[in-house]
Amino acid sequence: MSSRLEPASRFPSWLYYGLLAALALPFALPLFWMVSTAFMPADQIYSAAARWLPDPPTLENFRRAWALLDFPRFILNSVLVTTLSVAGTLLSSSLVGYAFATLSGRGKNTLFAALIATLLVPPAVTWIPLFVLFSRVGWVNTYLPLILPAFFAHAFYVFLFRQFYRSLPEELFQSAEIDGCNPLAAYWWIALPLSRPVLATVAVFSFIASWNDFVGPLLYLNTTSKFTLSLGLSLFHGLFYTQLEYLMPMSLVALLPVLGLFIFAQKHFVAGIVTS
Amino acid sequence: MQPGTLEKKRERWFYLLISPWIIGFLFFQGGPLLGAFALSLGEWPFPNPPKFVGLDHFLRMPSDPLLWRTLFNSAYYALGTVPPGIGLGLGLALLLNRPGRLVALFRLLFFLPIVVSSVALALMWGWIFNPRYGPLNQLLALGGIRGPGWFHDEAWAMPALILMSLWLLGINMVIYLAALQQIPDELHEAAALDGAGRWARFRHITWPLLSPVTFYLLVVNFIGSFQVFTPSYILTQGGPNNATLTLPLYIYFNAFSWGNLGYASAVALVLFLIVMALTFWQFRLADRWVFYAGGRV
Repeated sequence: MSSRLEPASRFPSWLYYGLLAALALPFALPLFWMVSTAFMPADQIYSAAARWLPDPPTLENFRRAWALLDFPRFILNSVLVTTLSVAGTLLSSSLVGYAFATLSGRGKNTLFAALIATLLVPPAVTWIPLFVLFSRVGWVNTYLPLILPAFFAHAFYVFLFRQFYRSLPEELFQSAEIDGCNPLAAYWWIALPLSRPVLATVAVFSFIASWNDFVGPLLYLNTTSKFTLSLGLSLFHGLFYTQLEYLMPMSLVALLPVLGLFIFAQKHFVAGIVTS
Repeated sequence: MQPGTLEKKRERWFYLLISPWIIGFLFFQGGPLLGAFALSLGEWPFPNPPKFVGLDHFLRMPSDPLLWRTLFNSAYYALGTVPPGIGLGLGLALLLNRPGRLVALFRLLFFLPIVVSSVALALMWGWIFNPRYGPLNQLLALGGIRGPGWFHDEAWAMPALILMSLWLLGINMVIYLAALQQIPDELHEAAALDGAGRWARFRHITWPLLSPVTFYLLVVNFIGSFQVFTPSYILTQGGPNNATLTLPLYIYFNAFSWGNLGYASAVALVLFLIVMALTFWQFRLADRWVFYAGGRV
């Protein structure tokens, strides 16, 4: 029986890397093609014989796509929505996670069960009532429906924070309270500075979710100048064909901040998953 | 200060600190869930006044062929994506659970698709699957195979959607990798000393210790698979001939394109019930195969 459990002498490394490379191909080719198309003149993209490399590589696509739609505006909108959403998520979820980990009150277990149960509710179930709610208060075509809910804690992130705070020694917070700290102060001055790995993990997750969110902006934004990047990208999809020569370069631009954050946070990120 | 009052005080702090979530729950989750039920009981022909219709929308459902088609599509998609996604995620994690720079590079590569915008991803795969000019069919043609019409063919649209989703299985791999790194080496060493082969060690050590993670992924992935919206909204609008019309898409069209707010809310509740029943059933089954090393958390 050939095993994947461990590197072993019976499992030669050429076979191992050969297998990996074969599995990696369907993942690598589209990514490679995405990058290569971004730099490819349009007539080569749509030629009958598929090309894998641009000849010659050109920045023309970036220049044209940038001029075709107001991308600086889309980027600014996305930065605004994402920054506020991530900040709101980090603050509210860590606070609630801290309370569930270190404090107690009547009905705590029931409340925690209710919190976890919200993970089981598909967002599509509440699309309509939420839309009705937000249109009643006149928030359609504003960023509030996209940002505000982030300030009220998300169950999955609360869970991550709670697991982390439970792994810290209890005396840490008790001694702080003896020194006259109230729980809020203990959270702010002691718990939060210690939570770097979880903060990094939650920041990466919520950044990706908000930056790439399509349904939220689709439901709530209807003026093009208010569009976020992901909604803006969808404009390159016409009725009959996709303008790949513009889509690909702008998709790369959209990818860069996420990639940067991911690589920057990677060390903490993996630690955050493991400790939770 | 008496201990009783201290307890009271701490309890007050507890409620104060979780209050953001309580407010969020009332306004953005629990409240809207009740709201969906209220909406499903009426017709909302804006700007005309709403009309109470009771359970009419629910009674109409069995004779709605489009709803049946949608349920079939969602089940097809769920079964097509979840088991292979978890199996391949586990396989990759087992392969990549070792040190080394090259291995780390492979890990990054498998994870990378996760960070691509879902819009870009959908449009890119739409082109890859393009019957005539797409790279995939051109590649198949090199091998003398005439590729199918993918998103233009009723029978092949759903398989194309499933293949596209499997491109995102790196997230499962990462979660399995994190769990694998917590299995102590001593367990494998001790079993090997006792003469256990690799398959036996996988079967009796790795698999049981990973089972809580597998269970978590099953629950989360099944819920996720009933939420797929963006790719079929962008690429096919549910077509061709409703072959990729999923539940969320049907809800969206009913509510925001066809103005059937009440019926859309009723379908949304059906989606909710399906996900609840499925999750409940999985929890029931879990007692038979999920192993908690340190007892339940």
